[in-house]
Amino acid sequence: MIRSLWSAATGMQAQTLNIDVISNNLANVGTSGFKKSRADFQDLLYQTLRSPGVSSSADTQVPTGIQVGHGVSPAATQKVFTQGEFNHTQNQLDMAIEGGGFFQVIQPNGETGYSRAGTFKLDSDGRVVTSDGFPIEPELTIPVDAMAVSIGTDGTVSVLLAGENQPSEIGNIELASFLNPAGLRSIGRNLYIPSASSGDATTGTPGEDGYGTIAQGYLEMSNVSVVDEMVNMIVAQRAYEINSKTIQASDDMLQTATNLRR
Amino acid sequence: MSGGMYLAAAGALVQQLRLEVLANNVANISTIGYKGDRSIFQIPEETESQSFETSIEGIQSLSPYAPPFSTVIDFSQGAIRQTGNPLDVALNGSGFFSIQTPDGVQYTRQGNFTLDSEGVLITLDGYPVLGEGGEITLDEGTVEIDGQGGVYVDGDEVGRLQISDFTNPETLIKAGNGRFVGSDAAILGERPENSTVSQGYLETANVNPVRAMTEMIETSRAFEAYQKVIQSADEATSKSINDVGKTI
Repeated sequence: MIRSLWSAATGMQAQTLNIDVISNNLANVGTSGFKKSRADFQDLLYQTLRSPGVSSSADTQVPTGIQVGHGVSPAATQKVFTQGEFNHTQNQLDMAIEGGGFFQVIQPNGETGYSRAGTFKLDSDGRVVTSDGFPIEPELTIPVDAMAVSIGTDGTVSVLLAGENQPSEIGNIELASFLNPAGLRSIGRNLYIPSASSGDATTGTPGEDGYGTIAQGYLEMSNVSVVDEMVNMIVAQRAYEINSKTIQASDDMLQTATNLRR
Repeated sequence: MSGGMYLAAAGALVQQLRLEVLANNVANISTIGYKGDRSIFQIPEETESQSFETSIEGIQSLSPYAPPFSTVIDFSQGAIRQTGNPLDVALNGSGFFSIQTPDGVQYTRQGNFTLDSEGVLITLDGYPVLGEGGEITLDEGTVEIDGQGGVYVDGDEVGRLQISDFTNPETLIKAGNGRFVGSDAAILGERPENSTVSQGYLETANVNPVRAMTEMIETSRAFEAYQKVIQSADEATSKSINDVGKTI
C-alpha cells in the first residue's frame, strides 16, 4: 500500500503517548516531590531511493537525492529533575530538599527507595515514616515525651524533651544522590529505585558536597507547570489531528487510484 | 497504446511519493531537532526541452516517464523551546552535534542528551556525544554549558562539545533517530563561528503545519488530475477502437 498511511499512524501513536505523559503530569500537579516527565521522539529509518552525490556521468554528480522516511517512534520518557516550588506547611515533620539529593526510605521488601517527597509522619512506635508507613533510612525515632522536633539545614534532628531546657540531638537525616538522576526508575508512591543507567547511590550529609539543604516545615511541590502542560497538550492534539489528515489524504488518493477503472 | 497514460501514471506515483515524504514530516512534528524533507520538482538546467528523454542524462529520474523529482533536507532553524533541563542543549545557527555510533561519527541537531551510569554524556539511544577531545564524562555536580559548547561541572571545564558543519549540508543523508551521516560527496567544514549553544533549551522540528497541509491538498489534487488524464487517454483509446471505422 502507501507508506504515508503507516507513517501517519506512527505519528498518531506518538501523540497518544505524548498525551498520556502530559495527563500523568497534570494528574500529579498536586503531588509533593513529583518530577514531571517528557516524551521524546525520534524519526524512524529512511529508505534512500537515490543518494545525493552519486555520479550521473563521468564528471557530474546528482546534487540531491530522494529519501523517504517511515514516521516516528518514541525514544524515551525523560524525567525532568528541576526544583519544585516550596509550600510552607508549618508541619514539623514536613521537609523539603533545597538542591540535589533524595530521601532514603526502606520498602517492605527491604530495598531502599529514593524520594523527593518530604511528607513524613510518625507511626505508633514513634518512627519517622512516609505516608505509606515506610521508615526513613537511617532510622529515626522520636521519643514519646518530645515537645518539639527541630531539623537543621544539615539534617541534624533534635528534640526538646518534656521538663528539659536544652534540646537533645537524636539523629541525622542523610541524603542520597545519583550520577544520572534522569535514569532512575519510578515505581509509584513517590519512590524511585536505581537502574543500570542511574548509577549507584552515594550518601552524604545535607549541605555538603553538592547535596541540598533540608528545610523543615516546607514541602516541595511538583515541578509541573500547568501552563506549559496545557500548551503541550494543545500542540499534541493538533499534531494528532494533522496526522489524521495525512491518513485521509492517503485514503483519498487510494480511492482515486481505485476509481481509475470504472 | 497511448504513451500519455504511462506518463500520467508515473506522475501519479511521484505524487504518492511526495505524500509519503509529507506524512513523515508531520509524523515527526514533535521530534526534537527534526529537519523536514522538501520535495522539489526541478527540470535540469542543461536540458532545454522538458521531454522525458533528456531528463535521463541530467538528473536521474526514477523512471524515464517520471517528472524529475528529488527531496532535499530543509536545514532552516526550528523554533527554540525552553525546558530548563541542564542536559538539554539547542544549537542556534548552523552546525551539528557529533555522535559516536558503531557506524562511525554521525551528526545531529537533537540536543536532548542524558548520562549513562559512568557519567558519560550520551544520546537517548545510548551513543556518546563527542567533545573536541573525545567523549565527555561528567562528575556529580551542577552542570553548566556555555554558549561556545564548553561543559563545566561545578565551575571546572570537563570538555567542549564538538560542533561540526558541512560546506554542502544538502548532501547529508538521514540515518533515522534524528541523525545525519555524511555521504561520499559531503565536505566537513570548520566549526561554525556564529553558532551558539543554549543550555536548557531544545530545538523543535522545523515542520510548518500550514505548509504541510497546503502541500497535502495540492498533492491529492494533482493525483486526481493525473487520474483524469489516464481516464481521458483511456477514453480516446476506447473511441479509436470502437468508433473509428464504424460503418453507419
